[in-house]
Amino acid sequence: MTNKEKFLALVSAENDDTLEKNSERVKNRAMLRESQLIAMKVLMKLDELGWSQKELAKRMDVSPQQITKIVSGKENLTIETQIKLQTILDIPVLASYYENKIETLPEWVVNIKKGIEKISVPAHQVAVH
Amino acid sequence: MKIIHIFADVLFAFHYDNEVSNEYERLMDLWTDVAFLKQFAENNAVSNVSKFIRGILQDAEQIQDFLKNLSQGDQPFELYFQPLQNSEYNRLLGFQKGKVRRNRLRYYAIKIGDNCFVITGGAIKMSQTMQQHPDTVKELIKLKAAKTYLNKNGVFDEDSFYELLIEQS
Repeated sequence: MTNKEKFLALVSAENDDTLEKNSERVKNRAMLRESQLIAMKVLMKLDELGWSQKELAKRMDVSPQQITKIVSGKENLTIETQIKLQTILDIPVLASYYENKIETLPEWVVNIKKGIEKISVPAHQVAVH
Repeated sequence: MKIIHIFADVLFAFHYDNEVSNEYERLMDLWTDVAFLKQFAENNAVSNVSKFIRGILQDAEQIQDFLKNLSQGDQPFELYFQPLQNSEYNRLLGFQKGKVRRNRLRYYAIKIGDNCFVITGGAIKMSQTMQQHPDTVKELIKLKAAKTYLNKNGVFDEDSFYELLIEQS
């Protein structure tokens, strides 16, 4: 028996999980991609707001370790966590973000219309030369 | 410093004393960590951070697929690993780089025999040559240290390599 055969006989009983973890990553790819996108949005927004991850943890009432996990982009985030992120940071995470925006759209339209009316010059005031 | 068996008689990786996992796993963890990638991009004065992060995440997925396919098929790992320099072609315990076309992620390894590799580390390729970036300079040092470790432990071919692994286990 060669050393190679001896070794392979030895390790066959061992469970090295590198390949298994690799397969898990491939299997969970759709979830991981979403998690990564959310992590990117969170990090960019924190920069924009000038907040630290610790500050976000405080506002979300979670541990700083939880924020570290969120911004790594590897977490399977609960809906509760996604709602908190969306509300506190005002970033689009769930479809409700856009639905809420659309609901408020008529109000915007009315306001824009009023604004236009204010700045338009009435027809009878336009001088004709 | 310990050598971890990853796949059949083909792929192994060093697990360094101060690290929580072997080099394949440790690096794949980093290359899929959005916070790490953002910090890395900023440290390296990358102009478009979001684009860089998205690109590296895609590169990491490509390597995951590659490893999965290689471990499921009959293709040799030599499709992935190639000599670091031309001078390493037929060298005993030659330095290798894992390379997928248009991919910026590199695993580095030592070739033990035909289709048998030990990963020593890896890096995000940020420069034309390894000497031009501190991360790849560090990887060159790790490659040399790994070779010294193998030499000191009497590894000069596949059989002596497996002898070392049996002693370790």
